[in-house]
Amino acid sequence: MKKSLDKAFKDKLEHGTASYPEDLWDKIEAQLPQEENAPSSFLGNFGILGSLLLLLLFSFGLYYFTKADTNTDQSIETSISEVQTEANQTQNSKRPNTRANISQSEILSSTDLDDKIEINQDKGEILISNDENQTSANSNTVLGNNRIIGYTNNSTSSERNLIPREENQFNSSVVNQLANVDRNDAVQQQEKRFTQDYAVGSSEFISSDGANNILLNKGDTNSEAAKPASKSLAELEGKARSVDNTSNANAFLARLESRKIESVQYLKSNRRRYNAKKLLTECPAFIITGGKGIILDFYFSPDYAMREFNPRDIEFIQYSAERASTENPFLSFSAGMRFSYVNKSGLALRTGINFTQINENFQYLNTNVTGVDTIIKIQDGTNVRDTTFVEIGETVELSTHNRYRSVDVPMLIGLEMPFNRKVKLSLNAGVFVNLLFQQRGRFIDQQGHPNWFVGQNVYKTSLGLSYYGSLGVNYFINPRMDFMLEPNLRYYSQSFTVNNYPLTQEYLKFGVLTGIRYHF
Amino acid sequence: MSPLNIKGITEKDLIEQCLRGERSSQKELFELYAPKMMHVCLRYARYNAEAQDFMQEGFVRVFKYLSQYNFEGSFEGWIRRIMINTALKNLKKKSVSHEFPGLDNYKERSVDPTIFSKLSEQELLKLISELPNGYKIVFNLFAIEGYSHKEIGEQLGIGESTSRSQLVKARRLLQTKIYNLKKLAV
Repeated sequence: MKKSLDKAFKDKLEHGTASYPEDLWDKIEAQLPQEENAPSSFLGNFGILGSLLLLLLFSFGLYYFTKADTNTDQSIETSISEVQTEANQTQNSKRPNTRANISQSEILSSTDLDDKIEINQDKGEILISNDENQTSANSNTVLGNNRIIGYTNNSTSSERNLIPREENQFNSSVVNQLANVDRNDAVQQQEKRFTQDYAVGSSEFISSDGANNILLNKGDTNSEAAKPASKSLAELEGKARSVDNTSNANAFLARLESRKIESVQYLKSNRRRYNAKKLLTECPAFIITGGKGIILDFYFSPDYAMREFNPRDIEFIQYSAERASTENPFLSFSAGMRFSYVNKSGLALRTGINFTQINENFQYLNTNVTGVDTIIKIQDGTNVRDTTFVEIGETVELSTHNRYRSVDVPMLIGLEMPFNRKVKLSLNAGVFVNLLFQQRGRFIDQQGHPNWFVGQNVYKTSLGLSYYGSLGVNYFINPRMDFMLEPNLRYYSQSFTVNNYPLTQEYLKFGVLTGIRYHF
Repeated sequence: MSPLNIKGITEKDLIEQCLRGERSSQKELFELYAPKMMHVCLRYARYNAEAQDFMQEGFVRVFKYLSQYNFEGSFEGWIRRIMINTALKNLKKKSVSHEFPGLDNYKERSVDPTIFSKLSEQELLKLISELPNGYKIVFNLFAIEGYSHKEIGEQLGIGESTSRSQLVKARRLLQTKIYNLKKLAV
C-alpha cells in the first residue's frame, strides 16, 4: 500500500510540468548581472588592472637594467682583453712604433678645469676631452691637475657644488658608485700615478722640443701646430707615432700605453653594474639621489577608500543597498614609517609600520522614534493645574563618523630608477600584514535599526593581507634627504565583516603618500 | 548529457553560452526548464504566488552558481536541487512548522491500490497541495525526490524519527483524502 501510494505520486508528479507567468523571465533577468563573465565587482577590475600595470612596469625596469648591465660588462671585458693583448705585444717588441694600433684610442689631456671625461664602452676607449684653446704656457700646470676617469677637479660650477654624500675630491658619478672600494686609497694613488706619469711624459716630450722637432721635421709651419701643448694628447700621440725611434716620442708613447692599461684595469676592478657612459653623460644625478644603503621614510598619505557591499545571499540585496546608502566614504588617511634596504642594482626591500584610518559618514533618517511631549497646564499664572504626557512620532537624523582603523606591517619589494639628476622613480609592490583592526561607528543592523558596531559581531579583528602597489617619485633635497611622493593603491583581500554576517564589505584604497626620505 | 533542443544545440553548449553571459542563451535555458521547475515549486509552495517567488529566486541562483556545475550528473537534477533548496530555505525562513500534532487522529484507510493509478496528475498535485506544510515537504522529499530520512532530517533540521513520523502521517492523510475522493465518486 505504502509503496504503491508513493510510486503513484512519484510516477505522475516527478516529471510533471506547469505553466508559469510570462513576465517571470523579465523579473529574473532584472536580477542577473549585465556581464556574466566579467569580474563580479569593481574591486576585481581595479585589482587586475593595477596588478597588470605594476607587473608591466616592473618587467620593463628589470629588462632595462639587465640589458645595460650586460652591455657594460661585455664592453669592459672586451676593452681589457684588447688592451692587455696590446700591452703584451708592446712589452715583447720593446718598440713603441711596432705596437698594434689601439684603434682610435685617444687620451686627451685637458687644459681646462672643467674636464669632460667619458668612457666609450663600445670601443673600450677612455676619453678626457680638453679645451683646444688653452695655451702652452699653462698646459703643464693643467696636466698636473688632470684626473683619471671618474675624477674631476674641484669644479666651481653651481651644479657640481650640489653633489652630495661624497668625499670632496670625488664628484664623478662613476666613482660615487664604486662599491666596496677604498676610494681614498685606490683613487688617490691612481690619480697621483697618472698625473705624474702623464705630466712627465708630456713635459719631456714637449720640453725637449720633440714635438716641435716632429712638427718641424714634418715641415709643419702652422703657428697653431707649432704649439704642441695646445693640442690634444691624441694629436701628440699621432705625431709621436709618425716619428720613428725618437726617444722622447717613444717614452711618451710608452707612458701613454701604460696608463691605458692601468686605467682599464682600474675600471675592471671597480666595475659597476650600471651603464657607466650613460650615467656619466646623460644621467649623472642617478647616483646623487640615492644608491645602495639604508633609507628611512616618514610619510603621510591622504587616501580615498572605495567600498563595496555585497550580499552573501540574494535575500540580503535590500539590506546591502540600505547599508550602502547610509554609509558614505569621505577622506581617509595613512601614516607611518618604513625602512628600506637598497642594493646597488636599485632593488629595495621595505618594511616598517603603517597606520590607516578609513573614514565614513553614517547618516540615517529615523522616522520611527516615539517622543513624549509634556503638556503642563497652568492655572492662575503660577499653579500647575494638570500635567499630560503625549506620545508623538518624531523624525530624527542620525549622523556618525565611522572609523575603521588598522595597524599593518608593510612588506614591499621595490625597484629604484633614475629619472634625471634631481629625481628618482621607484616601483613598489607587496603586501601589508594586518596587526590590529578596530572599528567605531554606527550602522543599520539586520532588523533595520540604527545600531553601534560594538557588541554586534559584525567586523573581524584582523584583516589578514592587503596588496599594495605604488609608483614613487623622490626629489633630492640635500645630501641626506629626499622628498617623496608616492601615488599608491591598496586592495584589501578580505572582507571587513565576519563570515557569518550577511554582507561582505570590501575596500580598494587610493592614496598619495608624501613624506621625507632620510639616507643613512 | 543529452543533446537537446530544437536548434540542435547540446545542453553543454547552452550552458557554456550561459557562462559566457549570453542573455539569449540564459533565456533559452530558462524556458527549457521552467515548466518542470514550476511544477516542482508548486509541490512545495503553499500558493501559486509563492511558487513563482521560489522559481524566480531559484533561477537567479542557477545562473549565479552555474560555473560550479561540473558537467557531471544530470543538469536537470542539479537545477531541481537548487529549486528545492530555495523553497525549503524560504519556508524555513517563514517559520513554517514541520509538525502538526492536531492532525494525528487520522486513521489508516484501506484503499484499493489500483485507484492510485487512476488519479490524474492534477488530482495528485491537488492532494499534495492540501497537505499541511510539514507533511507535504517530507512526503515530497521522500516519495518523489527520493531523499532518505537522514537527508531530510539534515535538510530540515529535524530528527530522522520526526521525518519518519511525518511521512507516516502524510501517507495516512493522503489515503484518507483518496478514500473520500473515491467515496464521492461512487
